[in-house]
Amino acid sequence: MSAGLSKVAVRLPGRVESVDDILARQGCGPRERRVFTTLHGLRHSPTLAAGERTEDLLVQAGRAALGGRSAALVLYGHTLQLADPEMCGAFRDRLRDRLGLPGSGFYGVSHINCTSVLRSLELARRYLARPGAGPDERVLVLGGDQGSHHDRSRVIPGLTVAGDAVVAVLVQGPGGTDRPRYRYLGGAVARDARFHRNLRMTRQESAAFAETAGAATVETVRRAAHAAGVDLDQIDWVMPHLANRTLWRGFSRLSGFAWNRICLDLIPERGHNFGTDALMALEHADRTRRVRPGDRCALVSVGQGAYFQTVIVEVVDDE
Amino acid sequence: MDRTAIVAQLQISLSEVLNREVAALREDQRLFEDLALDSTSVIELLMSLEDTVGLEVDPDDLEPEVFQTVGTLVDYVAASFAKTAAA
Repeated sequence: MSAGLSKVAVRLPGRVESVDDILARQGCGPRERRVFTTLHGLRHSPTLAAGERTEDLLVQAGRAALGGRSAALVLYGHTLQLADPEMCGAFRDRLRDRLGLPGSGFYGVSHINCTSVLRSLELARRYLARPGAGPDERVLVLGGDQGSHHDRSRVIPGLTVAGDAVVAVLVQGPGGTDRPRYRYLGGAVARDARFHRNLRMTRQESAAFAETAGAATVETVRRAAHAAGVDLDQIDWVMPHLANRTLWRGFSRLSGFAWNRICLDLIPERGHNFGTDALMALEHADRTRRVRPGDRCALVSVGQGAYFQTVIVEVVDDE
Repeated sequence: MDRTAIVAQLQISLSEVLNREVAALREDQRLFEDLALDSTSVIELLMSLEDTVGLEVDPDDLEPEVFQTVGTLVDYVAASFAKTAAA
């Protein structure tokens, strides 16, 4: 028996911005902007409309994932740092109240950049597998950031532009009574602290990171597959970190994993949305029936710093 | 555009991307090891060639072998021109 995941709830903000416009505001020249659109395949970035708040999107996504059920614990995976009072006080309490979970535990998962949401899934699974856990206990995992708060927080030079979409998923333990949509099979994590300077990296460090990230991503996905009891060639789909298409061309080349089994459909219209990407790709693939019951999917995230996280799930039979 | 002209343009574009004067190129020179390009500057080089000689880059055609040497990159540029001309 293993942990189960609900369907993924995605909430998009009310407008999109052109990646080209965002980069132009940051002072990027035409040639650099063309790299993002032509090579990386990035066109649009979901952006909060006037008066919209990330908190509202998190509440909507969380309620959808809960579907009227309760959760003993809420884990909020985020890339951007929140002020301590927000995580310990008003924001936390408002969110719990609005989710109908006033007595539940609430923790932020951060400082691992865009791997924070998949790490939250892993932490939820471990929490629910602890000795003495009740069969009906659940953990609500929330993810997403307000990248549009400031352009400097949403642009990673040469790599990607991040948007404001959010996700939520409900996790139950091995003895859970809900019918899950996905079954957890295994996972793997890696870290390479040489790149801890993050957005302050030099051009040479950024280039080294780009080269290292490809091999480290492949290695992490392979280890996750092995943890799930299979080889990489027995994985049906990669649900990728949607930073750009270039990263995944490298992944396909290095690993031999079929290019057309990496679900990159969302790159042009949504692009990268911090730690939400892999779950958003899974939701898209499921909704559009690209995945079938029994398919094994590798959810993959990569964080500046650098951090790597993969979770393998299997699509459960339709009722 | 013949092969000699492509090499000459490559020299100009490389000088621009690397921000230093690049001496006359030999086709056996390796882009990463001998000319000190990295993954970012390779992309800038392609964009520069798009701007200067009208190369049209199809990202899905870009295999790593393209970036091994000056000669393999010239092969890619020449093949791209031939493809465009045939279209």
